[in-house]
Amino acid sequence: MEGKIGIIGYSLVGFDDDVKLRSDEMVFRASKSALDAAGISRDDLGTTVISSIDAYDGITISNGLMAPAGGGYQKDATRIQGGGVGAIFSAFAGILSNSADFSLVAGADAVRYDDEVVSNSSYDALFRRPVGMFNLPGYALVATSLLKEQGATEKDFAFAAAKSYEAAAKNPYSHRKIAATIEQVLESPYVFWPLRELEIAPISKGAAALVLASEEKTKELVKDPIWVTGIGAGSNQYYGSWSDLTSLKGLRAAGNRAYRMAGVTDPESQIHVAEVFAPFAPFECPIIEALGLCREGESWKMLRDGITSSGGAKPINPSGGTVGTNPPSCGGFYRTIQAAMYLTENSNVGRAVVQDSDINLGFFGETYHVAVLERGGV
Amino acid sequence: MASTEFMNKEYNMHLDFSVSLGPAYTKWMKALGEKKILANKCSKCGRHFVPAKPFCEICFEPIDEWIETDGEGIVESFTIGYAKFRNLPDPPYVIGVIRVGPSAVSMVHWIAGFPYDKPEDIPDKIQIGMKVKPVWAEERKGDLLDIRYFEPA
Repeated sequence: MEGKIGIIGYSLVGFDDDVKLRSDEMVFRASKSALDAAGISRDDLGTTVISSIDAYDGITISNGLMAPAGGGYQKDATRIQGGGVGAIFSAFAGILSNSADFSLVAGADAVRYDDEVVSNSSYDALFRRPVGMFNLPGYALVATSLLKEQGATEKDFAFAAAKSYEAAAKNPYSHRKIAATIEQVLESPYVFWPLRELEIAPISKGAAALVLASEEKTKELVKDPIWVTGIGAGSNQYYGSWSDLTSLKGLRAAGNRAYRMAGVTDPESQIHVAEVFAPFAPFECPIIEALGLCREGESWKMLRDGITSSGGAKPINPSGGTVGTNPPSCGGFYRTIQAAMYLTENSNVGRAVVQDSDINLGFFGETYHVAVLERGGV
Repeated sequence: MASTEFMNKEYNMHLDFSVSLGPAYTKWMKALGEKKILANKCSKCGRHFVPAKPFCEICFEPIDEWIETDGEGIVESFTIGYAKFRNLPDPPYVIGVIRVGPSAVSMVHWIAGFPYDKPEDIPDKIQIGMKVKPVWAEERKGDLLDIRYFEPA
């Protein structure tokens, strides 16, 4: 499959501990300003795709509330629960199938909820919910494997968090601008050993929207556009083997599909920056290995050497990453927009990868999404 | 804008559900009531499953071969809860990823029944690859919690 779509406008609203607007108004504000940035109107839209998760929205079929707020009245409106890059995947398909010249994707995180109870409800009632599973012990079980079997140390965990906090402090959109150091991270208490409080992402409130367009319309409207040239998805087993989960097989499948579509044959040399979804900071290391951004087993050394810090040769999460900002429903949009901004601001960098998943609710049966972004001249 | 300018609306939901478990899950759960951990086996790829599965998602075939395991498993990963959460016990406690018998897949359960002096010593008391065995509840009803926890074997 060949083809690409352009990112012709976007908007971010937030991010913070709390917001003062309801989800629909948040989506409306983000969507309206993304359309203004693109220079098109609601009438031009063919499709709208809302990224939201009912459990986080405190209402079932929450897209009913939010589709009109995303310009979806009488449009080909869809909702995706698997994260923002999944929503972009749906928009991508709509544009390449000629269903639409323009598609708007949007989402908001505005409702306060009990994360433990909501996450626990996403685990199956027979085998996982009875032992209290929710997202945080799931993250910690994977972190233990990183520590005991993949060559990481607890100091590496803290460093992964600290380099994200350092970058997040410089990003005006960040939720947490605390600039915590390695020492401060190591002083924070264990929540679920081996993960400490400051290594775990917060829940951020805010909204995001992007306007996506066909290749033809993008070239008409934008001089030096950012393109989505490849996109892919992959899922893991639900009741699966532990090694299947920790080797991120679903993510590897998603990355391979996105790379094939984008014509990326050697991601290590052809991808220059990445925005990845690591709800616990050290998870970025196995992600970049699964994405082929470094050789297997070398991600921890790259981390220690500063290569993946925001000033390094291959910055991973220069936005400040998930410990800086983590809105569950619109996080994939946030990462995509941050990667697009990075490409716009760094003319020496040609290609970025954005990685997303539905593991905000926790591990097991996770679905991963990967998108390749490129600058116009590439 | 000051927060007092807008109203907040608080609400909650209580929802009841009921689901039929079908033949495979029912057989596996009922066996727990008899202090047995069963595995079933995909006749095409030969993989065993604890907990049992109604179908093999790789071969995409239904599963109907069964064996009884000795209940012993190995720890594939573990975490120690050091903070209090609503649906979980008072800390500290251990949640483990446990692979029972010949199973190709893992289950999640508590690990307990090992001695320790201080909570901070627990990470050194459990090893990946450690053998564990089930400790059964006195009253059993065909439920995952018929196994109270796994302890070092």
